[in-house]
Amino acid sequence: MPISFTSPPVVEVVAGVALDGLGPDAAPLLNAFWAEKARKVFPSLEQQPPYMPAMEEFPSAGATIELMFNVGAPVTRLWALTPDGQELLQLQPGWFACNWRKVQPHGEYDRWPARREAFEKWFLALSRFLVEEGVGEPKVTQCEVTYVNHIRAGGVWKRHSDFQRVFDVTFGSHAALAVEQVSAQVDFILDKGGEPRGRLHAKILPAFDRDGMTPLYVLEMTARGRPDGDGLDGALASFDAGRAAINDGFVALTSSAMHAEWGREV
Amino acid sequence: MSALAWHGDTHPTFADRERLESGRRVFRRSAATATSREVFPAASESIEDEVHSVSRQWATGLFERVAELAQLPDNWDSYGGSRMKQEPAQRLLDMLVKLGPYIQSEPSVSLTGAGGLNCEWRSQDAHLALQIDPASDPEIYFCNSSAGMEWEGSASHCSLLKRWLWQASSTF
Repeated sequence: MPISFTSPPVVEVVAGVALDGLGPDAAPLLNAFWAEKARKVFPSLEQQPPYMPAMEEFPSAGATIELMFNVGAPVTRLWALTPDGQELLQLQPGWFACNWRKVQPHGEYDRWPARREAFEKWFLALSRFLVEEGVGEPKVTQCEVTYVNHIRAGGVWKRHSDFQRVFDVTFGSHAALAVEQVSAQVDFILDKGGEPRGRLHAKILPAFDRDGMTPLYVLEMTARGRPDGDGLDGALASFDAGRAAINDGFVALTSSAMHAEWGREV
Repeated sequence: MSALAWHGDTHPTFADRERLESGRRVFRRSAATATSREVFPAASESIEDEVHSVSRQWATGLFERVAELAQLPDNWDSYGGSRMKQEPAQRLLDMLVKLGPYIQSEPSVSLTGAGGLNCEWRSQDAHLALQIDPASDPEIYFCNSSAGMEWEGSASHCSLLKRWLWQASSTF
């Protein structure tokens, strides 16, 4: 039984896929998809720099530097947003994603089934549109689920140096120097039957809240890997596995005192 | 000798524009998430990483607005307001070049009666005004409604200026 929380610190969830068969010249088609199929729900449009998802390779290819050489029109990424800004679609040649983000301070995370459903709905709509336009169905080459958590100081911890009250890590307990704050990245391998299929990346970043004063830790967890089969079903299966890994990783990395504050249910 | 060259009296040049927009030349890390700029990173390495992801599209609008204000004649406000002076405008551009990585959106820019410039940013929670008048120190006014705080004083005494600019220019 998966562990869940009544008040998790989730502020954003992204379900996205890297796509093959949609080159830079597909940008006008993505514009048309927004205008004809998505505009009523996502009336605002923003232009963003392109997102270049890292490709998970085994064995690791090490750190790579992405260089972009544009020979035609530059690749842009469209963000189509709902009026309240809480949900958005990312439309870019080679990349499609659905985001949910917490816009109001007391807004509540609407849980994974709703995120999965939103992705399914809009990916199907995009696929159908592309088939109607004669481009054919896009091929999913990699799936990515990201959870961003903002862990605010409060009852359990007050300062960034209290990181051991937030995270279940033992670090520097014998060091003579006082730790001020911790930034960290932990990468885990996601495998199936002993075969590596992707990675879970967990990043911990100390920050200050929007009031500029309250310390918080950002815990960003991304599960990225190959689809678990063809088409939409394969992508959804990969999302489910990634989301389960994020859940397990989140529970393992954070302290039981924080679990109690977030209302651990199981 | 100033690093900036001006046409005539007070027209900013393309060199100014290039300096302001230079953040565009940095290969920027781009994220799939939308909340990454909501909070201010506390670790210096993270700040460098994060600020390079911020687009400087605001610089184009700012440059054009300053060039527009430079066209206004003396008595532009019919109350004896002075035309834009080169010295404060140049100091403002120099300051914004340095602070550029912490600015996430275009400010509202207006001319002051003394021929200086006033820049303002407003986000959901914060408001920051930066005013530079001839021969006087840059002045800062900052207000954060969610934290219930207000501050006014010289920029040289404002140790949290970068953090406040980040907040007030947030587009989240």
